[in-house]
Amino acid sequence: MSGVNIEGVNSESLDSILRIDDLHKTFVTRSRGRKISTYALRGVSFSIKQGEAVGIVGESGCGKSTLARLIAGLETSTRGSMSFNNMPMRFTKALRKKISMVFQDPYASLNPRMSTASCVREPMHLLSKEELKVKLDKIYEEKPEEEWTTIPRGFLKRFFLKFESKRALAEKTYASRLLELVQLRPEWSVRYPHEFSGGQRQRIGIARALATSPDLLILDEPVSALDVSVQAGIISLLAKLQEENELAMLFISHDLRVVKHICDRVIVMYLGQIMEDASSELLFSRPRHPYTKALIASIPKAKLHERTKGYKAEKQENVHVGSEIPVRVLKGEIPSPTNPPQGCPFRTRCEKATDECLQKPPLAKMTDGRLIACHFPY
Amino acid sequence: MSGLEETKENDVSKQASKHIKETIVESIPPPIKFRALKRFYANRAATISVVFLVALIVLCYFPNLITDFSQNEQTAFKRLPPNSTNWLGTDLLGRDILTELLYAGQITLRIAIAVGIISTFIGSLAGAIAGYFHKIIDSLLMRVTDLFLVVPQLVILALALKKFGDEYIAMVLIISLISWMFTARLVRAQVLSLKSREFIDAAKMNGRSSIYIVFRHLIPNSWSVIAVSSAFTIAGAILLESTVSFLGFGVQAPLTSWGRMLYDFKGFAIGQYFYLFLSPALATFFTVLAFNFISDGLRDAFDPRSEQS
Amino acid sequence: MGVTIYALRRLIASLILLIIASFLVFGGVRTIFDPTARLSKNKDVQARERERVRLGLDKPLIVQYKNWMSGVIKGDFGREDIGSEQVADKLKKGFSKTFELALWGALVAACFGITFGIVAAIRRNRPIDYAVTAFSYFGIAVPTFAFAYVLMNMFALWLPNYFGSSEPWLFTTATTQGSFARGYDGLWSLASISDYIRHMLMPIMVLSVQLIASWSRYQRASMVEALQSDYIRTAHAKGMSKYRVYTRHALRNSQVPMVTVMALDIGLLFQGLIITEFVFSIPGLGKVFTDALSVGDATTIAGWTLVTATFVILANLIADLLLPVVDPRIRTT
Ligand SMILES: Nc1ncnc2c1ncn2[C@@H]1O[C@H](COP(=O)(O)OP(=O)(O)OP(=O)(O)O)[C@@H](O)[C@H]1O
Ligand code: SF4
Ligand SMILES: [Mg+2]
Repeated sequence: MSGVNIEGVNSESLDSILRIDDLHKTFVTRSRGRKISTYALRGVSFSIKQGEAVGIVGESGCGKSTLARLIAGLETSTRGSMSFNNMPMRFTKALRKKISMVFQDPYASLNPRMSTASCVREPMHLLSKEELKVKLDKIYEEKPEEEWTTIPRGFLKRFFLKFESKRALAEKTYASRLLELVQLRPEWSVRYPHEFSGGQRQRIGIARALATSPDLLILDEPVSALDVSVQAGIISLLAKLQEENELAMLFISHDLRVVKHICDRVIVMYLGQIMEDASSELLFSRPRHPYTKALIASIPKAKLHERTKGYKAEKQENVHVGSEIPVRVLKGEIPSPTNPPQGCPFRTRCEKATDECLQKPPLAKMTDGRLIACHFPY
Repeated sequence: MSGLEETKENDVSKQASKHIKETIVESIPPPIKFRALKRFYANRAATISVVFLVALIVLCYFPNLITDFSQNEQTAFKRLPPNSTNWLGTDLLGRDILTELLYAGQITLRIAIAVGIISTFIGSLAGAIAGYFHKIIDSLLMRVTDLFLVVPQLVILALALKKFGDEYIAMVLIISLISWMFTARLVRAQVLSLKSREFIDAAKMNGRSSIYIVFRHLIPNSWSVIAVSSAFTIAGAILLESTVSFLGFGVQAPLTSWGRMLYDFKGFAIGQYFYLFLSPALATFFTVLAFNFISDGLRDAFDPRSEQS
Repeated sequence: MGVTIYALRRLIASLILLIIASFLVFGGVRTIFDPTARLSKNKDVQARERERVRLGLDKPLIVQYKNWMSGVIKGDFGREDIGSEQVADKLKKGFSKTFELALWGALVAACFGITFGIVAAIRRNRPIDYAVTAFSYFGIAVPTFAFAYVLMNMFALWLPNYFGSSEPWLFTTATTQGSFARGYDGLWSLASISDYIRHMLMPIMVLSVQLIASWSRYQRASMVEALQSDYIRTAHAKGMSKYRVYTRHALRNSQVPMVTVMALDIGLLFQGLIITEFVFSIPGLGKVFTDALSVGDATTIAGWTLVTATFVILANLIADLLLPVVDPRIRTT
């Protein structure tokens, strides 16, 4: 069933880098002898092309993070298949090099006891000697006169600098260059995470994710933990990096405006299922699915006008508005993923719901190329 | 939807790029060095304890700094109460108590610190591994801990010393063996809370091995817990040594420790010669107290949220 | 329903723990002590061999354990290695002497420990809190036996001497004849009660000082935590009286961790008994252990250790079973 749907406009042929087919994830937790199943993902299928930025939106608890963690290999699926570059995914070193992830919480995603350089160097053991050399050559070609090594603080570390291997020095140089790429100062590589602000830490996280030159970057709400004033900077940095490196991105967010800005295509999820999958333009200009409509309608309009008046005003507006804006406009509570409704998952809150919605709507292709899971998509 | 369409993306990026410059120029907080140390220093009891212990260690290993006598030297012909030459008096063989106390302190401290090191090592390793590999190894560790809790430490120690003799090396090993569980439990709890942090996920994603994660991420982030529990373990070890020696099953002559001195002076514990008994007892008390203060001081210094107890 | 299954599971787990512990105790004691060691002096190899066969030491450990255990279940712990008394009798006699002291010690420790902790938590950062904290530091750091001798000197010598009393205020031995010794007539006469107290007070203090210290610490910590939690703030905000907040909510919730802590420390109580009875020369359980250990009486030690282990496991089982009573969260699910 889903194999058919994948033949949609957005994910046509074999040039897809990531292909996900009918992915299920059920968490089974035990609470004093009783088993509780949480259906976090229930048959998710989509694919991402080389260099494509795909956004995933949806309310809290709809399984966005679970999806990201499955693709990152941090969790194993209950059912379904994933393939990367048309090969079934097996999390070998070679694959780990190709996929990397930026995490949500910049305070938890960096080890507080590791210097910035060590944090950024962490994935570099995946690089072979030759790959590292290629990168170094490029660095010296671009900026031959730049001083890349920073003398570490601390007597012992300075002493041990003498005994450092060539590889370690090369990695450090590369780490400094990566910091520069994410618009941090290379000489900050000797600092520790607590000496940075949230946004700067997130940049370090991005630098770490870019270290192996991945093909696919997963971003799980990379800006939602940040101060609104810093978000824009990170977003445009990501946009720039994506364009320059032809990165495929899986961008997870609550914030539709951010997704609109950065993504080519948007997937709307609800209770572990895909509701709508369409190009950014289509989705935001002509949303079809009742859930998508509700989500978009819930973006406060005043704020969008305000945006043109300048940055300061926006900041003040945003102080009161959390990232869970959509919940307010949608009527009713989101059903629990431990006991999702039969048929269309959105049935309990949908205005258009009829008896037909007791049957699960398939994710079907529309004439304009989008995929939508609703019996009444007009 | 009109609002959305009106927003020009160019505007956003322009502002954003302006903002990037701000971010970078934005002054980062000056590096706060030795935060924990400063907090520790602010804790008077803990600081005094450190000074006391340093002084004690120096004096125990260089007793001649304050006494003119050597070990077992007969300085008087009878028991003397504290006076100007024998500050703490002499025992019934005329030996200077202060000198004996300092030499005995060497053994006590050596045992205590060796136990601290060994049991901290075993405990933090076991705790980190159990916490990280949660399921099987963890429940195994918990069962072993349960077993050790079933029989009082003193009983295990006394029994084991009967078998393995009164060498203080044996004593060190046995006390370590029965006191690493405390550290292990604390480190395990710490690791369990660290394990779900995103930097561990990041390390896993980057293909780092479990050993790397344990040694590079988990143990370095448990230093505070490890330090706290090792000071606490040392305090416990001193008490245990002194008790088992006092009961006559611990350190045996010719070796002396504070516990052994207490055993020797047991006959004078009530009556006018109480001062004999009092000196090693007070030495034990204050040393244990100091390690307890340091343990709590470290805990408060590392974790400012835990309020001063 | 859920509670029954929970209780059954705890019970089975305790039994398994007891079996493993008893095997380890027996095996450990058997490898540590050789009851025939004293026969090795008279060079009569055959006599030693005969003795080994008589004691069953030639059989594999597991068989020895089986034989021992089958006796223990019937209440027969074997005969002591040196001497001819039955171990079961020795333990029974010791227990009868110890029982009162242990009970008083646990009771006093629980009452004072919990009260101190609660008072300190409610009056946090006030003088009384500092006093409790200071006391708990003292109790944790002091070697109990040294504390015992200080008390003895104080109450039997210095204070009576200073105030010119001809008799010690408190006696340095406990009542060995059980309660109400010394042939006073009338069980409940003032004289006999005061005599009882004068004998028992110091051993009880010595036995409980460490427990009071550590329990008041735990109680204070858990009470502080309970007092700072959201629902307590809500209760205050709703205008509930302070007294009701403390008793209804804070106390109850702070008791949950205390049950476990106190059960775990029953082992400490036995440790304290060994020391207290050694110092005050009480021929109770603790003394049975120290005596047996100094002569190397393996059978007695094995029996003794098994009995204490059983008590500790039992205490923990009771605590586990009490938890649903104290903690409603366990009951409902
Ligand atoms: N390790 C886990 N064990 C049990 N349940 C889990 C686990 N991880 C996630 N869940 C459950 O799976 C569901 C989906 O969670 P997920 O984190 O993917 O949501 P999300 O869309 O990322 O939400 P948010 O926007 O809040 O991050 C939730 O109901 C969550 O409670
Ligand atoms: S299928 Fe029915 S309930 Fe579901 S979104 Fe469409 S109209 Fe609403
Ligand atoms: Mg999430």
